[in-house]
Amino acid sequence: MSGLHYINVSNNQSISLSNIPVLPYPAFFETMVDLLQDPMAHCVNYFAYPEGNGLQFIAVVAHDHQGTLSVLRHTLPQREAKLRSLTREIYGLHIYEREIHENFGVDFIGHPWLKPVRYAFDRADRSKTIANYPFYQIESQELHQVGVGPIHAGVIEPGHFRFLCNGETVLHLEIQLGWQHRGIEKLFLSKPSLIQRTILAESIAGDTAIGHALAFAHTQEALAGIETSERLAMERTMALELERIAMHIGDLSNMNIGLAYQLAASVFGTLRTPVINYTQSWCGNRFGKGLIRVGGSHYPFTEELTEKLDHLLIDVENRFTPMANRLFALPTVLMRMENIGQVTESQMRTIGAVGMAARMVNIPRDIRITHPFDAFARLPIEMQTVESGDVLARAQLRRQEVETSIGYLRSLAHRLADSKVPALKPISSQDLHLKPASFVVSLTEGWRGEICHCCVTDGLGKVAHYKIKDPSMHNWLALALSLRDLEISDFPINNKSYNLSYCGHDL
Amino acid sequence: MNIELLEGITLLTLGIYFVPVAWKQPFAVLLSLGIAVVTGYWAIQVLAYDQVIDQTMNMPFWFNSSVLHIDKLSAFFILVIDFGCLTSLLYSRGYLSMYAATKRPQEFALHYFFLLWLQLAMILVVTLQEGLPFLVAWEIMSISSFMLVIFEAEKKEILSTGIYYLIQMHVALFFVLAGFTLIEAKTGISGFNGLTPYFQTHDALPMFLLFFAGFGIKAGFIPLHSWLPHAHPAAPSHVSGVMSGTMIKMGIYGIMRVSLHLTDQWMEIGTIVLLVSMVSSVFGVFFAIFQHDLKKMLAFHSIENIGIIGIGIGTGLIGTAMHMPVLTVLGFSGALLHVANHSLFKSLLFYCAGSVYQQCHTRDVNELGGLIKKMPQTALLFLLASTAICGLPPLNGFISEFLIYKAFFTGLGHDIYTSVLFLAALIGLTLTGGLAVFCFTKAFGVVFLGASRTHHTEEAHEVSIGMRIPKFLIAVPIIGIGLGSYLLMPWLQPIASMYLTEPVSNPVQMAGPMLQSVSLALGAFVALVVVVWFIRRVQQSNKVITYGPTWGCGYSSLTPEHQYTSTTFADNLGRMTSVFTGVKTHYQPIDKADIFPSDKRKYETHQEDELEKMLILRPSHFFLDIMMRFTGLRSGKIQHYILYGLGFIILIALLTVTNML
Repeated sequence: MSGLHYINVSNNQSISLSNIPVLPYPAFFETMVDLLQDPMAHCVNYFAYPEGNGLQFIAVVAHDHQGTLSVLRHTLPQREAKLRSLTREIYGLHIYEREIHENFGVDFIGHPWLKPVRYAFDRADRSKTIANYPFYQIESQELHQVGVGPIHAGVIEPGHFRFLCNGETVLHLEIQLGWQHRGIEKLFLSKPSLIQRTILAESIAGDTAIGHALAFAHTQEALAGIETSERLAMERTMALELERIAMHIGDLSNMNIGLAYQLAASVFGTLRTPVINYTQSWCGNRFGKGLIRVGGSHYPFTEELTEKLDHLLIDVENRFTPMANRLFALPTVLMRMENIGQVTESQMRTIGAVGMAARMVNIPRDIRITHPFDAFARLPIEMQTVESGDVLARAQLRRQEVETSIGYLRSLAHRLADSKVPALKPISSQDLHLKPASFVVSLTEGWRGEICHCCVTDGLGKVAHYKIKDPSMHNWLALALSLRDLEISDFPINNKSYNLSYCGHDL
Repeated sequence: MNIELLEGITLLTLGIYFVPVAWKQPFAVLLSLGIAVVTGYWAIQVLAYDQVIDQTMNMPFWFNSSVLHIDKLSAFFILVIDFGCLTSLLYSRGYLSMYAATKRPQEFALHYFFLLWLQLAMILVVTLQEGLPFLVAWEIMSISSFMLVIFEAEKKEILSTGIYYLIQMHVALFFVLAGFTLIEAKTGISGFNGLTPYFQTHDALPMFLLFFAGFGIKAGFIPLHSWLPHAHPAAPSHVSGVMSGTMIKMGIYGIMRVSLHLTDQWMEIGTIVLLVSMVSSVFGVFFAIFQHDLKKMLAFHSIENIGIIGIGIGTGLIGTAMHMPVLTVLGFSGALLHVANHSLFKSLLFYCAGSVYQQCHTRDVNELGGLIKKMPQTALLFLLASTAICGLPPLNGFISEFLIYKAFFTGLGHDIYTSVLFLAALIGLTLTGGLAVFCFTKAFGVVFLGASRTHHTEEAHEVSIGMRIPKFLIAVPIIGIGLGSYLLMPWLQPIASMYLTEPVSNPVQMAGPMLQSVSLALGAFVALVVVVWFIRRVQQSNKVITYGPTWGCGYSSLTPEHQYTSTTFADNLGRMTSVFTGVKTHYQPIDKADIFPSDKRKYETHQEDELEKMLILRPSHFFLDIMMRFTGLRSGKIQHYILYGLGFIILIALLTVTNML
């Protein structure tokens, strides 16, 4: 396949829209199938946006070996169209096609699961509502269904889970989301100021404020051609890894509540606090809101913070490691995690799982390594994978990632102390001039996995379309697959072991 | 009262064919009441004055005359039969009204005629002592129940079920016939009276087993039960009620009557009865749990309860062997009381199931649901009967099972053999009770609680007053026996004492005081409930109560599929026990690679009776296979048949001439 069909870019590299080849749909179809034959490639985004009466489609395929991103597009002169579904060939694309179908009414012929995604306010077909969602049915008077949510026993985010049950065994789980839709992508267009957009990005998923804000900052910096200092890159990476450590430890605590292992639940629960408190002492917000700003930072990483970080990491390590050692050696705990909610590598490859959901079945998918950004380019981090794909794997992966990130933070703090160049102040809204008619794709590895933001500008340098993809978009299906032929009582522990984002999916 | 009155009523049964169709049922009720008054009068006389009544019946076509011999055992069964048949007839009018448009008057006449004759035949069965008259009465009972089962004979499967039933009844008949023939050959005395001399001089065990097989088929002991789950669902509900409540007890009567004549080997026989009964009760309830057909489920519960009765009989027999009169009395009075109790709550359950069927036209529990709102009284009565059949206080089922439990505890620790036996029976009975609660929780929950599952329940409403009256009539003794059991013991113990080998001064002393405290405790419990209910009623009287939809986690469009079904309720148990309960699932699981299952899937389960396959279907198919090899001889040409006849005659002639015959 020649460069005529797509253009290769790197992460956070802006290109002129005109450089992206526009293919007729059959050629686009063939190219996509061809690109995605490589097991080390996966589609990081495929979306449509309106242009005049028609639609522009942009697809981005990541190549993990080469560290490149292939961008290609096709167009439709009008919205009502029928396209041959790519999902039949590449199952991982199902969610993108569903989203395009929901938003614009494009009919994907042969799509096996063309159901609503999030009930966008401006969706094409208003007659599709939450009440008439076409759940999968098994013909029987003997089975029963269990509907859980949108309001859950624990006060968590809203989502509806429909279990097809035979007694206590789940034959099939279908997850219906969209209760949390806020129209974030549209808000990016209607809120013109940079600060508004930054705060929006921080609010895509409250537990991944840094991950999403970082992806947003990268798109804007790339489009405006802003060079950031190495020190800023290191500071941002630090914030991202602190977020990862805090969330992973918090998740381990929650999983232990599900396992009824009170000791670990308490130890991990309290251990999350010093980590997020550290972030607070840095930027005034425990979740790192306000820390990531386009072009610079309001909160330089001081020497005092470096010192405190040393203490924090020693403290966390001293408390985390013994508890984790004990946890993963306890037979009663292992019994509740081993082989529970197991999925296979081939299932996860098929659905295009990303981040932790991929690494728990030994699929080496980590943007920090394959498409490095910020400090990861100069100071590589080690990829962590496990194999078994069960609850235990998801717990162990968290442990390994926490420990790796602690080590990584140490070396990063060491480097940071050497670099004396102070970080710049953030750029203001008036000074931000985006390149006209350009496109950028920014990937970051949030704690859940790959976050992808795409920004398209119009001829005047204004944002024409802003596309957000949280890793949960792919990984909710992994949770549904985990539950097959499992006792329904194992649902809470599985749900906690994935801890996917409702709002990140619903946008 | 004398026998002519009964004979007169018997003749009057023919009158059913001549009265107008609207008057057929009241006429039949009148006759049934007549039979009940006459026979009940005898029965109460026998029980009250501790005497034996002999009525000589002159029938031209029976050899000379037959004697209705009514002792305490017969008297007890007469009362059970009369009450069961009377309520069945009362209930039948409302139930059969749904066939008023499709069935001809003659068919109704035939039906009521055989209902009355079933009552008469059963009374004859429990009173006739001589072999041949007994067998004739037994045969009338089988044939009339067969005619009742095939009321809807235009349905092919009902007719074939009826024939299946008739064949099994005749297998039973042949066992009993063989028993009587052997006794008469050995002792020269026909009927039950020949048993005592036979048992005194011969090995009792083979003869007992012969009778046990014959009567056991009627009673429905596992593995002789296979007709029961077919016949009960096929029959109209009032017939199922009288068959399950009363008729299968004729098998129990037979076993008890034969046991009465035992002179030795109580221990061996008691052990066998106890073990077979344990298997019946545990397996019966296990099978019941996996039924989707309400009446089939009740049929399997009959097997379970026959097992409980048998456990009582077995315990009583072992008690006689151990020379522990208290054990004998407790075991047999428990068994007898359970005969009466089961006839009450099982017919009530069948009538309630019939009412549900009449309103919803389906017996598949997975198609029902939410009926308590539409049929509140039926639901309440079903709940009452369910509580009773589960052996829960304060109802009658608790009392009879309590007596049997008490017998176990009394018998424990005597010697190692019986201790182990009683302990096993104790565990078996406990397991049975627990599973029965499981099963009826499921049945009541799925049928009456929650929301309607299908359109079948849309039109349902409370059944007519005529169909409710017999049910309330049955409910009265269910509660009465439960609360006033100590008043009943003086009537039961003399019957149970018939099985004692040595006289005991005052058998009433053995269980009476104990039941007095039970009655007191249950009465206090009921009083407490009533008081709490009353207080609540007063307290709530001026409160505004609002009703809303069931909370579904905030989801707006929940469907009836969100309720547990009968299958899913029992799924865990089904998978654990599928080896012996034979639960089969027809479902193709969703493949791991099938991310988005697209093809339509079906999920179905059914329960296969492995014992029936092994004992009935395989042998009969085997014989059928052999028979099919000779179908070539059936040419359809008359000449060939004459040739066969001729050949047979020549063969016989040759054999006679050569002295080989």
